[in-house]
Amino acid sequence: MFNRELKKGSPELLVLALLEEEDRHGYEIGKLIETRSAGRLQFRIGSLYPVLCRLEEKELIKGRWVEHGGGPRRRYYHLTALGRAFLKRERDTWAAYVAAVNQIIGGHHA
Amino acid sequence: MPDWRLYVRQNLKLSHATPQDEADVVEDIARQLEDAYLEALNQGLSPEEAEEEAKLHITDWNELSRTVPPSKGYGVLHSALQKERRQHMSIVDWIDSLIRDVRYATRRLRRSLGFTVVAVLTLGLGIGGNTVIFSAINSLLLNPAGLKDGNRILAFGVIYEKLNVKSTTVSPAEFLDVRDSKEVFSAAAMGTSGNYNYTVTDFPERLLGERVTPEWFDVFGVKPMLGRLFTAEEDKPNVNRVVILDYGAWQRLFGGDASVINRTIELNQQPYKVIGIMGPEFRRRDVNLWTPLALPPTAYTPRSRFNESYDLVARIKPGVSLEQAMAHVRLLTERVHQDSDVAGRLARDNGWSITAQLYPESIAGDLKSPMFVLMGAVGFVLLIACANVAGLMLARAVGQTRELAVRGALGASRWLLIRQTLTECLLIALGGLVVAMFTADAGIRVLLALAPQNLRGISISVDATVMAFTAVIGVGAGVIFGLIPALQTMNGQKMEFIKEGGRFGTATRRQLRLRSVLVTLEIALALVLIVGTGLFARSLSNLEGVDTGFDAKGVMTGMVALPPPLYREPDKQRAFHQSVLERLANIPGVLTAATGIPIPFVGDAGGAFAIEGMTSQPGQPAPQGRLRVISPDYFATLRIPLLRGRTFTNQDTANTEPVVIIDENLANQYWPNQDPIGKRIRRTTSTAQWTTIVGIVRHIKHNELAADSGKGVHYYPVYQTPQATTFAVLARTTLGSAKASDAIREAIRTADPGQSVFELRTLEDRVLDSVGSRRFAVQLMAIFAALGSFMAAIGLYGVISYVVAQRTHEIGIRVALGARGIQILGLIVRQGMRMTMAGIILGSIGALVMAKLLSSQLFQVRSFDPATFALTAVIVSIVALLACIIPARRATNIDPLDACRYE
Repeated sequence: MFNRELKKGSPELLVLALLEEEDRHGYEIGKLIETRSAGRLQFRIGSLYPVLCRLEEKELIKGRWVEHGGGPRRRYYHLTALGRAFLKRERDTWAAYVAAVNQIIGGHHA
Repeated sequence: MPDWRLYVRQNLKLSHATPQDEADVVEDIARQLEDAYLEALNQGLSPEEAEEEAKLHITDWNELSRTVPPSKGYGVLHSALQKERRQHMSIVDWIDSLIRDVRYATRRLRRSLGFTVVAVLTLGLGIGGNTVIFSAINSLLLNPAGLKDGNRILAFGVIYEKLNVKSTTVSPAEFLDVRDSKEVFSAAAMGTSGNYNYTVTDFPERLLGERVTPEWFDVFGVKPMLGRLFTAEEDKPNVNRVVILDYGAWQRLFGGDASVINRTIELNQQPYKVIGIMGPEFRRRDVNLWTPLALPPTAYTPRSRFNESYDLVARIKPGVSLEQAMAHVRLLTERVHQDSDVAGRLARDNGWSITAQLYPESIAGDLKSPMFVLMGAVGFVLLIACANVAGLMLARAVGQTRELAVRGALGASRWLLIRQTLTECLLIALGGLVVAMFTADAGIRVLLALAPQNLRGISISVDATVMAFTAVIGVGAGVIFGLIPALQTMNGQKMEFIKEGGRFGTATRRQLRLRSVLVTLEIALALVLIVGTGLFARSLSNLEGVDTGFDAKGVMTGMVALPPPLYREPDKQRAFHQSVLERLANIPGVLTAATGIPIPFVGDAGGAFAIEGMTSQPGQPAPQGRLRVISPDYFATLRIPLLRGRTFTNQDTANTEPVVIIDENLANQYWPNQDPIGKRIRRTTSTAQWTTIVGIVRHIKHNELAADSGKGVHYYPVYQTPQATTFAVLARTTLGSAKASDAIREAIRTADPGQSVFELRTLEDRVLDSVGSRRFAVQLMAIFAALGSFMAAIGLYGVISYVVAQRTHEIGIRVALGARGIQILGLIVRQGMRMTMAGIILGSIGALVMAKLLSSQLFQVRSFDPATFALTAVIVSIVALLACIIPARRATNIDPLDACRYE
């Protein structure tokens, strides 16, 4: 039932989930993944940046430059309506996937 | 602080981004690295350590360069995304993209016109052919036009097993049995056909009528369009002067005038009142009108049994199954067998029983099995067509793999590519359907033109359901094979396809193998079709060559129906016969002429007789023979040899000794080792006299070329037999059929200007009509076999052309190395012939199985007929060779220099 691509798709899921709360810039997203997972998940810029590009290309997120009081601009990412709908479905799929895996390996339901 | 922009710009190598995009990417990444650097400083690292820490974020610059900006991906994410996108798409967008798809597909199809034409034609002919046959079967057998629930109507007959006699008519006794079975049949009716001369001008027109009991129309579930049906009161002798007209006759004779109701018209010089018009949907072949049967009440008696002369039909009651109805018919037979009286004994002794079959089948008659053979044949054509379209789509799709892969890499989604392939398939299907409509229409016309007598006058309408069904099958095959390569392209093999050059790659090899298999199957199927046609054609020619025992060549025949009220007197009948025959004898070019009823291959009559001095044993059937009534020159006209004794003369009249002539089979059966001449027999009717056998003639085939029952015949002279007033006039002439017809017409008019002659046909045609269904089947099968072979040849041609194109490079090298044209030709042709041989072997096995299944339909041809099989293999080989040689010749013309550049 679960596509083997699912795991490859999970960084996207993380990014989308974080952007659901508010618009964020690239470095902040990587940092949040690290802190919220208590350091268990780490995404370096080199691996996260392609994810952002990909998501933007697919119009799931939208980037825009924001000026910060004279300093260099930051690129903030915003979740599009399409991204929101996509996130909702992928979240369900993920939950189902986790539940199925847990069912088999005998862990607690996530 | 390090210059992060410079750092990123030095490391990131974006080859295909616009300068603006590149600047954005550099700025974004630089800003993030700066964030990381600043954070590290905040955590207390030294500037050097912080710089190192930040640089660790991106270790593989090449990987990053490759993925930024990313090409569109193909994973789950992407296809899921497509779904989202589709959900967000408005109907306008959808129509817009549909139009785009159609336009694009049309452009592509036009670009490969050859492919498109062949695919459309193949599909169209396959679908059209099937539609014709299925429509015919539907109109004939499953759902005959104008019958409400035709498959709830039974037609009855009787059979005398021990006498080998089958009758499709019954006696009033059986009618009573069926009519009184109210728990099984909701309506039952009896009828018989009759001829009516309709007189308005000097030329009487003959109308075919049916005399029926009032329930006749209830059985068929039809109501009159105008007027009313017969009442029970009108179904009595002398009050039965009412008539219901068929729609066609009403249009033709009265121009569709509704005021004809209640008008009196003259039929057979008697006044009849028109009381109703049947609608156009109730067309019963040639029937023009109906009148009440009007048998006297005394005719409806169990004693009428074994006197079969009426058609009997009945409608099965709702809720009663066909099996139950058939079981009930067996029960009716059982009841008669259990009778203790004479009827019971006769029924048991002769193996008599009542038979019933579905009415539509009784109409279709001997056409039923040919129709199902044809259905099989046309099914084969459809299979070949499907294989062909599949092969074509496969070839085309694989030919486009590289294009698809490149477009995929450039960002076309899998769904888009599939949609475009589908659009193409559907366009081809649409084209195929248009061709199929024309084919079906023309095909039905051809079918009716070729059709034997019993199909004429039946309307066949194109069955849209069948057409749609076959179209789905054909298109389905195309879509499946068209999509396989498109899907393969999507499954991560893009690079392989892109890299693959003009030489044999694994994908092309796989598709070539698949196409070869398809073509081999096509050849096998075509071979089965040709063998089938061959076996049937040989059966037909064997049948047509059967010696009938008489010489039909040069004999013209016509039917005359004298109105019984005017020709009740035997003298008047005899005067008419003599006048006609004398007149004919005086026409130059007429060699001999005769009258007779029934004549060979037009109807049959039989009768039991007693032999003087011989009492039949209990349990032994009474002597039986075919019955013929003839004029003196009958044997001379048909050139039936007289073996012993004499033929009839004009002196054999009512005033002389009653005489009879028998054939050799009757003589051998009842007077073995004796001389029958001078013996006396008497027909078992109440008025019959003893008649003396005066001659023995050769046995002839009377009704069927294939299986003659060998039953003997007794012939009676026309002037001693008050006989039926419908009879045939036969004339052997040297005039040719048109002038011979005129001669007969002229003779009838001279004898009685009020009488007409109908069904003027040569005797030869009548004999051939008996195998009409077979000829019809053979002709159609030949068409299908030719069609199938042609399609298979196209398939083979396509594959070989492809092989030549694929091997151009190799062939060029061979030519450069000194290979001669003939060697190249052999090389290519061998490849095609390998497929052909495989197809022939496979097909021969299939044909053997088929022939075994059809052996009951063959005549004097064994199911394994080496000549047919060998000839077919030769035909298939020649066609295949032609299909190979055309592209192979192209290969021999390859210029080595061009070939090496070719890719």
